[in-house]
Amino acid sequence: MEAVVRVIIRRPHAYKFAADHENSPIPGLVLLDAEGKVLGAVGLPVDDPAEVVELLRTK
Amino acid sequence: MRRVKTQTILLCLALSVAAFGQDHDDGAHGATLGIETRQPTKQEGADAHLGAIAGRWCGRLVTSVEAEGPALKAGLAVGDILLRMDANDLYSQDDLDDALRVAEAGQDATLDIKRAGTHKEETLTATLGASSAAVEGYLWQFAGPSQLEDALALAKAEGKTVLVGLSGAET
Repeated sequence: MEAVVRVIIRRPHAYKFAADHENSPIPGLVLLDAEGKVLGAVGLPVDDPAEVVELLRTK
Repeated sequence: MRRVKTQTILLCLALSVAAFGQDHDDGAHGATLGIETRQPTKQEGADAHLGAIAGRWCGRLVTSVEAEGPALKAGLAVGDILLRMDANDLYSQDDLDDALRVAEAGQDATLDIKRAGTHKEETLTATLGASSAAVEGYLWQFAGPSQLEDALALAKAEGKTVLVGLSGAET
């Protein structure tokens, strides 16, 4: 079973999300806890895909 | 260069799936309304008093409606402007595609529209049809800011975190 729920948000909505959540890169991936708090983020593209895996391992 | 970037993004997403597995069916297979749409022109948007962000109108002008399709059965017609699907504001074709991609065939969708000519706002209910298009790329379970709360609620109920993909693509 996956540990994440997946949501895609595109522009222009992405800009509002980024304004409401600090350190939210566009384009990028942002990990939130169930309260909506930012746990981590990574901008895309990345040089090393391990950055994405590391982000997803953040709890 | 652009292709390399795209490949890197796809690789990252594939790795993220691999890292957490995907051994359950989340039911997100894609659906269709049976319409084609385009961005309203500057004049059309102004005439219909559409909202806008960064020069892009909120709404998709319906250019064709499939015979016997879900949209036709719901009462949507060519020339109408589709403002929202299930509370998601539609600023681009991608917004509409995303909403349909995470929906299921047979599910009822709420469509907020402005009628051609009168620009009267109405709310329709369409029973979505099955999409014949293959689902490509990463599968998202929710789409748009209006579904973020649903995603957070699901995450809370199941003890999960929420992965938000932010796209800046011009569409």
